Amino acid sequence: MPTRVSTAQIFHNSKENVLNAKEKEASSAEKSGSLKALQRPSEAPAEWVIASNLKDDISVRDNLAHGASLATHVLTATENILSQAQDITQKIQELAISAANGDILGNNVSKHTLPEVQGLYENFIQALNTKFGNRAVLGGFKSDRLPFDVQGNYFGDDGKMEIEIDRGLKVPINLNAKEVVYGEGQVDGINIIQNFQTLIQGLAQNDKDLIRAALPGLTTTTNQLSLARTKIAGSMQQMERAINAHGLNNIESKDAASKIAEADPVKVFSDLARDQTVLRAAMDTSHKLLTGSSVDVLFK
Amino acid sequence: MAVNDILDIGRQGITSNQRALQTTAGNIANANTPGYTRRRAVMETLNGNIAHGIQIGGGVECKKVVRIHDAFVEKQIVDESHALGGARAKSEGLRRVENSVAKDGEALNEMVNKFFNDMRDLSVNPETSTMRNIVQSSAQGLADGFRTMNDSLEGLRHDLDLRIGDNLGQINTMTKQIASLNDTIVQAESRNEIPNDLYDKRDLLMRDLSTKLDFQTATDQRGQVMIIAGGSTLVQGNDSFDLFALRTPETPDKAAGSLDVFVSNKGGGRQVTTGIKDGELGGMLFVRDQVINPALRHLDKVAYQVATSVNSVHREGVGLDGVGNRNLFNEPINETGAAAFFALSSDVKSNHETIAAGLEGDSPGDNRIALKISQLQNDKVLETTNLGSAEHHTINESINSLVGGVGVHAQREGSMFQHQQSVVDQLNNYREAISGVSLEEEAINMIQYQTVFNASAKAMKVGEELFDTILSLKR
Repeated sequence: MPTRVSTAQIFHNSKENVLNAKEKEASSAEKSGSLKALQRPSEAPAEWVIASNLKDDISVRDNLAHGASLATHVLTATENILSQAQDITQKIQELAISAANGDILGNNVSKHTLPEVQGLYENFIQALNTKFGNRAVLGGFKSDRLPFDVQGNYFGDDGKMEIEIDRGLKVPINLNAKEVVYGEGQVDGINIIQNFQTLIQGLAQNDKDLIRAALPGLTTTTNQLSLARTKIAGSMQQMERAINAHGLNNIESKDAASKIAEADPVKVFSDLARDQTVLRAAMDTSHKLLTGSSVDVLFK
Repeated sequence: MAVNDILDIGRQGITSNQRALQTTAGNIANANTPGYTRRRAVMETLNGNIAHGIQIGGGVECKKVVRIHDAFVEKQIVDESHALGGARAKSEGLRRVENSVAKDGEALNEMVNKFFNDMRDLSVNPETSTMRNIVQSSAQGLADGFRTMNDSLEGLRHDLDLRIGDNLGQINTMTKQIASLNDTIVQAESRNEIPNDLYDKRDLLMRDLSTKLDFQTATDQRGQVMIIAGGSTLVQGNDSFDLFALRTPETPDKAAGSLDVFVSNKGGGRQVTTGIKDGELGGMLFVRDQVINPALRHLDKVAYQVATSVNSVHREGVGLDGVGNRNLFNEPINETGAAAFFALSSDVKSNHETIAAGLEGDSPGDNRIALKISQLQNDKVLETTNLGSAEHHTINESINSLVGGVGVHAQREGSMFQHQQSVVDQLNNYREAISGVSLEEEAINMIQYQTVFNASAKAMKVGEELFDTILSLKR
């Protein structure tokens, strides 16, 4: 049985068709303008939350990687100090051996070696007092002052400065100077500065026994500094791995977030073209329905 | 007399079809009038005479003009319009909340990330005053972010209260009109009139009212409509009872100071807020009490957790001046209002060097407090209950879930609105198919009645000529 159609219904349905097509076209235009697949959370709430969480994760990882990168420079500076200290120790060792043997042969080598060894000792202290930026690297938490004076007194502390390089993973970025220089807490550790001072005293007094007593300590010094450098290397490797991991994770996260949040330009523009065509068709159809009324024919 | 009968029948034909033409003209004029129900003139044959054993018809009479409508369809439209009005109000309200929360939530998350990132940077460079300045700035940004989001939500809630107030005014106007129409209709019917226009007006008011709030209807023996909403009578006979709103204290479902809806009665008023579930009023109450208020409570919870957990760690440390036991943010008393009043402590606000990075004084390289605070971002410190089981979230996750939760509501109500719109559109189409005016149909009716009108006039003309002929016979 045919359904009766009222005049108001024709106008109403035409209007609704045009308005609905217009709304779809506007939505496609908005997407094509921003190239965002998700304009608001209600379009896909779960994906919106995932994309937001990914963006937060990227931000944190970038920051962790940045911190790790800065810390790498601090560790590099520390490594340089230790390398310098090792070189100085090696030179002092050569001079000390020469002084020890020279005295046996009757030459007064001590007298000539002393100024050089003293100079190298002062260089050693200077190296230990090196600052990175305005931070004394070996000062522990007391990083605003020179850790050592020329007498070998220490003015820093054993504060361990750690930074977070990954969620929940903290890595120290400084060395305990007491451990490295005074040998505290180490098996067969040696007080490097005291050993140097013993050598200097021996050279000043031309005491060959004292000179010889300091010689093994110089070897231990080199080993102690080597061990410290190994620890630094370990921390630096951890930093590098963390930076690489963050980089890789962020690439994946950015890709995933992009797939969720960003629209495929080809699809967006083809949807826009389609919706514009539908709108034109709706308007054409409505025009035909609403004009050329059969009533005019009936009333002729 | 037979000739007189011809004239009489002709006259009745003219007047009856004239009324039918009037009815058709009325239909045509009202083709686009909202709520108009097409009329039809009911023609009946008049009893004629029996002359010489032959029954001759007495003509036609336009007995009455009736509305063509289906009361059942009308009732269905009213019933479904409750849900449509509710879904529309929820969808529109949630769209606004969603836009606000998405924008503010994204900004707040950025502030959270910036604050903890800057705190992390401070842990790498604890010696510098500049880093503390940056942390002070990002902490201020975080406070602004919480307050902005809180203010936006409270603004939306206040706006809804204003709309609820407007809505009540419109409802009261309609109920008064319905009550007045009840009385007018009864009086017209008592005069044996069929007040089609008044029926149409009342039906239209009922349909419009049904989108405003959900109600039940009943018709008494005199045909007067009774309206009950939220368990209270709004219209009975020619009496109407106004709805009014008052700001009331907090309840489990409603924030302090938000509007409650009452029906006026002899005792003053009866609260009906919880009884109104649908219609625009029900939809707005839902958005206010079931979406915005929980969102505000959620935000307060996050703000409270951020302030108290950061402060708890910060108090352990010391600033560059060596003084400790200071808060970074103002310590909230409880969760309620934590977001609205989120701010830097006066110590930190006035001097960024009071920001603690370490545990010990005179130790510029001490970064333990800055490190511990930055790690709070990873801690799952916020608890929510989902389907009876507790879930733990980080600060960022909690803010994102707040936004996502509003998105879920908006998606659901958007779908409901589209579905309900289709249902009501279909019912309206069905109503239009029965009661709507078709110009083509009326045009044909008009031609039909005009033809009979002309023919009846012709019959009268013939009768007049017959009369003249009879009179001329006497001369």
